[in-house]
Amino acid sequence: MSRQGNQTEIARYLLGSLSEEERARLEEKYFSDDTAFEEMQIAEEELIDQYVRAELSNEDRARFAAMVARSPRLAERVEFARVWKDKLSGPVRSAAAIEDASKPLATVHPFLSKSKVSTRYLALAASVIVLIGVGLGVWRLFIYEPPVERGLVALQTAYHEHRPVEARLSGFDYAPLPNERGNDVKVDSLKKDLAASILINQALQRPDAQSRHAVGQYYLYDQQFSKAIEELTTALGLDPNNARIHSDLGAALLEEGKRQRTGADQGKEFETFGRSLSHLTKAIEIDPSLLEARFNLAVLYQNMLPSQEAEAWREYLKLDNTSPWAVEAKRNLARIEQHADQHLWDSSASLARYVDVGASACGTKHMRHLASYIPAAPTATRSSDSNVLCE
Amino acid sequence: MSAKTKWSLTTQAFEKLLNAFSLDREEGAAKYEVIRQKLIRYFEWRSIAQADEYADETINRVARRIDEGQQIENLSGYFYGVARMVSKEALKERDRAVAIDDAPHTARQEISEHVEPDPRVICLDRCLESLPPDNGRLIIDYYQEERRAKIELRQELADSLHIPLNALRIRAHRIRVSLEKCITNCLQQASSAK
Repeated sequence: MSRQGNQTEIARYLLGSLSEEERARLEEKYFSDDTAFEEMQIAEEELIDQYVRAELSNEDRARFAAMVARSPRLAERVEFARVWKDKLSGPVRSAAAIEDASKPLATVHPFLSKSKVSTRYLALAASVIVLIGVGLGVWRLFIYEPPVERGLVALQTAYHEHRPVEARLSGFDYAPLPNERGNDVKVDSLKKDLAASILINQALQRPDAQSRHAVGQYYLYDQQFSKAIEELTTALGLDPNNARIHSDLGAALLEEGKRQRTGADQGKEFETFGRSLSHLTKAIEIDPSLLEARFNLAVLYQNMLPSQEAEAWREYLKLDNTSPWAVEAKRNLARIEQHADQHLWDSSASLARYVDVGASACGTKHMRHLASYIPAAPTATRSSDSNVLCE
Repeated sequence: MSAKTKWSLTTQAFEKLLNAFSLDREEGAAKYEVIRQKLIRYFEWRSIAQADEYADETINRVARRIDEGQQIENLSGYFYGVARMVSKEALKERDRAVAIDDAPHTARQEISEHVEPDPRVICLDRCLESLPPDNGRLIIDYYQEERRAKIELRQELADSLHIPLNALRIRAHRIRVSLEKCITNCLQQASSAK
């Protein structure tokens, strides 16, 4: 194997991406051969340098960061590399000057041998500074991708084949649901872990509404709904009039309600759906053109009030008639229209259940809110006070 | 660490271990140090925390076998075999620990960026000063540029020193190791002076 190939193999070993057989072969070699071990150490140094200089790909960076987190010794070597890099990129010349002190300065940097730096050099330096400034501006504007966005890109890439929840997250591209033919959710777990690493780290380092919102989106796609609700509620506390956070919190509550309906928490879903409805309607109130909130509202009605579902999809399609989301909306609408009779029955049955459960949930503002959203309920299922279901 | 045996290294067992490396005491001690470094790196590269402790556990197990009279022909291969067993135990232990505490480890994955001056910076300056001038200049020049420019600069540096590029890498690595050791000592002195 060429030296280049050998270095690549070592780098892959260090990042944990070799097969077990390949790893064992390399390990046997460096245990028996001191030169091979030194080569491994050099490769590790080069990897560390690439890590601190942000020259690794996102995947490699995440893998390496995981290793660093587990090893204080490695973390110490990384810290050394960071200090070393700063030294070289900052007042490096002074470090060189320190160790060159025993030599005549002119032999090291001839242009410094003059007692005065000419104005020509000053002008040149100023131009360089301006150029660097412009370069940084361009980089910041057109190339730099903030961590939260990088994390969300990784998350969307992880789930690009299937979206794991029925609800629609704000700012996310379309991905079909997996269950049409009973398939499992296809997920790129490496990308998912990368997203977790970036987003959680960012939320810890800079816990603002944007980072907490993004972590909430991660948990929602990871189907950790209670954590998603917690993060999104925190994000909303930091930015109360953000329609997108309201929409995503509504989505998280919708998914949590669906989970409750089929598990040990059966019965609690009514209140959770009510809370979801509050946030989705608030999102639409703040931003009537927010497609994600309108889409989620239709999905919520499908689960909560089927009689309202068709109308909600029609409302959605008034704003978006062409995207892949619209295709899904049309499919849902067609399904409803084909089973109109069945739906009528569902509507009555569903509402009857609300009335039954209402006794325990009555008094909560969400149930009152929910009740106000049932204009077309059959009178037979309403309470004696037809204005408010819970009162 | 539950992977640890109850047996502990005695002076007699350690002597036998050094003898197994080499009958020359100094050479044996040097080889012992090399194998310990290899073991530590092995556990680190296998993503096992507490690499030092698992390295020592491996050494203890091998020393025990030697103390019990086992004849080992390929000592480094034997160390590797024992290290593999210890690493499997360590990974099982880690999985159990993760199952108990399933807090998101990812949250701790990235090292925070340094924003404040660090005692390492002071130590680095001191250690750079203490290097022979040629070595100091070489390591600074070696790590001067990034990416493509770095490769070209290193080739130029190797040419100017009339040595192959790989020899330059090894030389820079050895200076770097001595610099890291110097910084570690400097930091220890600084913390004990507090």
